[in-house]
Amino acid sequence: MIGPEKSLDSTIWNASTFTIQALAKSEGFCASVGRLSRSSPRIRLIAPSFFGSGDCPSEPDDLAVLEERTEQLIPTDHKAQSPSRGSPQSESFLPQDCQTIGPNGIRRRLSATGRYLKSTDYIGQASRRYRSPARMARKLLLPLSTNRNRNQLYFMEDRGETPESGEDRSSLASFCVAAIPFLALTIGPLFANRLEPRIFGLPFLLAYLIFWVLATRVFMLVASWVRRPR
Amino acid sequence: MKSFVALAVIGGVIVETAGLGIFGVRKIKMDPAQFIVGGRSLGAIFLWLLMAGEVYTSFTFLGAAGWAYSKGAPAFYIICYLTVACILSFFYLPAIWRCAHRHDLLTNADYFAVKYQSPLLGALVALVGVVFLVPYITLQLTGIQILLQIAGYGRIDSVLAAGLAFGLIVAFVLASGLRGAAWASMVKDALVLGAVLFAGIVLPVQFFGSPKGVIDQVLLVHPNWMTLVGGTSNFGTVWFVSTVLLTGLWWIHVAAFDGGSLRSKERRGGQAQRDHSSILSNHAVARLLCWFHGSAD
Repeated sequence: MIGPEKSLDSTIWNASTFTIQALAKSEGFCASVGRLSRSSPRIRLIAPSFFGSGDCPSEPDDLAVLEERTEQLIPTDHKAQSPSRGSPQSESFLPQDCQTIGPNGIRRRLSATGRYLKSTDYIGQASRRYRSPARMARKLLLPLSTNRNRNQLYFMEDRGETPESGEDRSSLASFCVAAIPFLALTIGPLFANRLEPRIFGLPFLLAYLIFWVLATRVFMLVASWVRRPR
Repeated sequence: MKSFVALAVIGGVIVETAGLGIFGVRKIKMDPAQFIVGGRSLGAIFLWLLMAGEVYTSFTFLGAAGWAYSKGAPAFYIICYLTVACILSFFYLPAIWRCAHRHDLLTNADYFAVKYQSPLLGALVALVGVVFLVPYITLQLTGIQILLQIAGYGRIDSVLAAGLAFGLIVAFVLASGLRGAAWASMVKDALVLGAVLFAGIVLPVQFFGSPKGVIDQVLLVHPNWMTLVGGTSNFGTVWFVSTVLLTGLWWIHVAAFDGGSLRSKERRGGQAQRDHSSILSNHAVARLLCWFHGSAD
């Protein structure tokens, strides 16, 4: 059994893992909560604990069932790579009140509850914050064979994190910082196209461009510093 | 005698550069990843040197200076687009690197084939890449041709010179791969930077007293040479803005694919790629000197 703290991570991890394997050769996908179904060519995601719903199975034993059932959706060439746990059971274990929703539905529910999902990338650094499990699953498509600890999904509040502590804010800040020299060098010449006043003997347009070429280095250092993980 | 000295200097530089490149990779066991992307382990400084090799080409000395000489202000775009490309690649490069690292990609074509799940698209990208590299290589070989013709005082057959240069380049690349090219860039770029500094600073100071003297002289001869013509005229402001944007976007492929994403080493959160983008803009400053060199002519 996995402990309560790891339960959520492991649950989501397992669900995502098998979903990802199932997705590997599918053309697209949507996510569902607590209901196993397939609409070709889409394979739906089993993610019972994405919202911590009490109605949906979240214990490891249930998970094993889910995994086994999910395996049946995996193409033959993928089955060989899939670990097998538990025994096959019918779909009747699924509560009837679990509804099937797509990525947009999940996004809406996450927004409504104020919960944020976050993934750690393959080098172990918290890199992105996702509201959408769909997007999250896409990002995790490849590192299946790598260290399990490098691919964790968790709700930010479970680790005492807030959305503001994520990278999105710094990404936006660095984007804004970098936009200044970008606009200055692309749009700016339209307004700086004149000879006077001459600066250090240089025509104004040339001096303007030289200034911004040199200043870009400083702006990019600031943008890099803003994004640097703390 | 003069041609012998000039050709001996060129020969010495070639031997030294190639020797350093081959020496730098002597202990490295070559596999496709090592050969094409340097084992994906190049740091920001090494990448900066490598990119210098792609920035300071025949175009820097002949094209940039030639544009400054013949067109004046429109040549300012040369110092802008590289900087714009750096800004764009700052955001674009880490994402490409992550994809390249996960899929173990080696070429641009690999990236498109995997990203869009289309081997056909990958093949098309490879084909377009090869086709459009031909004029670029032709440009570089033309530069070598001109250089050897001048150094040989017209006694060297230009076709033979170009053929010889092409053969040497191919042999060197086959022997040392990307890492060898990066090592060779150390020598080459030091020489190129020295030449750019000399041509951009010493020549204007020697003949016009200062860079300001160059500007004054240019304005005396061509009063409108230092500003762009307005609106949508040929080489006007709209042309300038669109060219900077277009060339900057084009240059992302060099900065992002050739330069950083496929080759740089692993660091947290794509920091190596961002560092690479940040310091790449330094090359634009050196290009500025080529503008002065052209104007001084």
